[in-house]
Amino acid sequence: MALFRTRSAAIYGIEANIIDVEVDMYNGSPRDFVTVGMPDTAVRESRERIKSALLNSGFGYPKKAVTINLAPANVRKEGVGFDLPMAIGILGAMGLVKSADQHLLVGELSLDGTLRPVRGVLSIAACARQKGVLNVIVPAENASEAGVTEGVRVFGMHHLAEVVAYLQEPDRFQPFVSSPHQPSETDQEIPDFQDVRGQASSKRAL
Amino acid sequence: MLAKRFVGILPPLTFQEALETTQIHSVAGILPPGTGLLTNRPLRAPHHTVSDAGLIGGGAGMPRPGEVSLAHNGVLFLDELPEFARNVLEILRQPLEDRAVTLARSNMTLSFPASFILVCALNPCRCGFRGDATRECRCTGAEIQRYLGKISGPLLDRIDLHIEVPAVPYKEMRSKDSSESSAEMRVRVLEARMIQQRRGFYNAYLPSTLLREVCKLDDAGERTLEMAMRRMGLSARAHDRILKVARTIADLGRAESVGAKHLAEAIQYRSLDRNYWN
Repeated sequence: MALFRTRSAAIYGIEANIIDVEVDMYNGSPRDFVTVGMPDTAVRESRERIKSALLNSGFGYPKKAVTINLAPANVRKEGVGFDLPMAIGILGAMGLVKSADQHLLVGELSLDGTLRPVRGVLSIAACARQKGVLNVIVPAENASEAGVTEGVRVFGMHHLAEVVAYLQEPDRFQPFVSSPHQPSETDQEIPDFQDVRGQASSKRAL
Repeated sequence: MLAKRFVGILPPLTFQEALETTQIHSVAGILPPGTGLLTNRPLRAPHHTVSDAGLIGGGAGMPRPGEVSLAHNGVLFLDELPEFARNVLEILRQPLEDRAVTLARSNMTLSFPASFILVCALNPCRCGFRGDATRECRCTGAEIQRYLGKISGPLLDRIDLHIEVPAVPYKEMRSKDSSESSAEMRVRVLEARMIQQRRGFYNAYLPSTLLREVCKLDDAGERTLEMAMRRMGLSARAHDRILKVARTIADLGRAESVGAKHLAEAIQYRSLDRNYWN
């Protein structure tokens, strides 16, 4: 299995779009690691993070060349959220992960394989629901944010190895349940000025 | 001090509003870790050195939402208004009218929602003592002109309520009488909002075709309005806005129709048109 596909999403304004991450692995030098599909600098640099994260999490890194395509290829990709889907794609091509088609993955990798939070997770979860992808894997710190979206199962993960364990045995993991939070008390005493009246009516401008 | 407490009397966020605002904050990457939905209306108070891209959004690569969008469904507070760069203030006009910002770039056109309440504060002149009863203003006429000239007529025209805030007399500062609490004020706000909801529109969103019908005036009201328009030389936009504010004041007082006294109050909130810019 040399070709593997995972799904992720990119922020576009305040909306998100699904991005397919295709990983192709073939004989060649491991120094050949090409990312195509209009990646920005942060996306292109992710190969260094991925290599270190895979090695440091004990998965090893194959002695093969890798080409990664971010489709649709004509949309600019920005940010570090693609670290995780690309890493899982490589593991998939190595045969360590079976299938991740029903999952949408986002997350930045640190060199030891820990997942770091990314921006725009709420939009990404909303996009996943729209497109019918039912499972969303996000960094644990973003879980409560993504969990706001109803209709998708959100999994907050701490480490790359945890994501792999989940993809091998999904039944062992529980989706994140958003806890209804208490609105915090903001009301403060308003000092009395003659314009208290004006304040009261200015909210009407809304 | 006042503006910061303003959020406390606004109606709570509806679920949809909270979702929109949280989404913008999420994309901007400023949600505190572990936060789910935002529950309070945002209050954004950018410093007056803010750039135009910082205010309406933009930036290299994928444009990010600016302060006006971060204040979506909340309050944008600009302290020391004349200190802001002129081009930064002028770009506020379009979001104030459209409640959204559209950024056109060579390779994409993006739209960020930006429905916010604008609250501004400014001194009457550079030294701050113009019109003060005890201290003397030392600004020259030209200095005052230059200071206030930063704020253009069209921008001022879009601001519905102007309030002069004189220094608090010592006695009042030390008095122990407590005033109305935010919670009490909020109750009145919510009541007025209910009334408007029954009418079908919040006053600020009232379409101009319905404006005349909803804000029907009696004879005394018509005369008051006509006189104010003539004397103060107000624009058509100011006319519509005064009517909406008057309707709101009537709602707050639970009055069926807009009377002359509601109108008079609405007109006196346009004091800056009258006192400072003429």
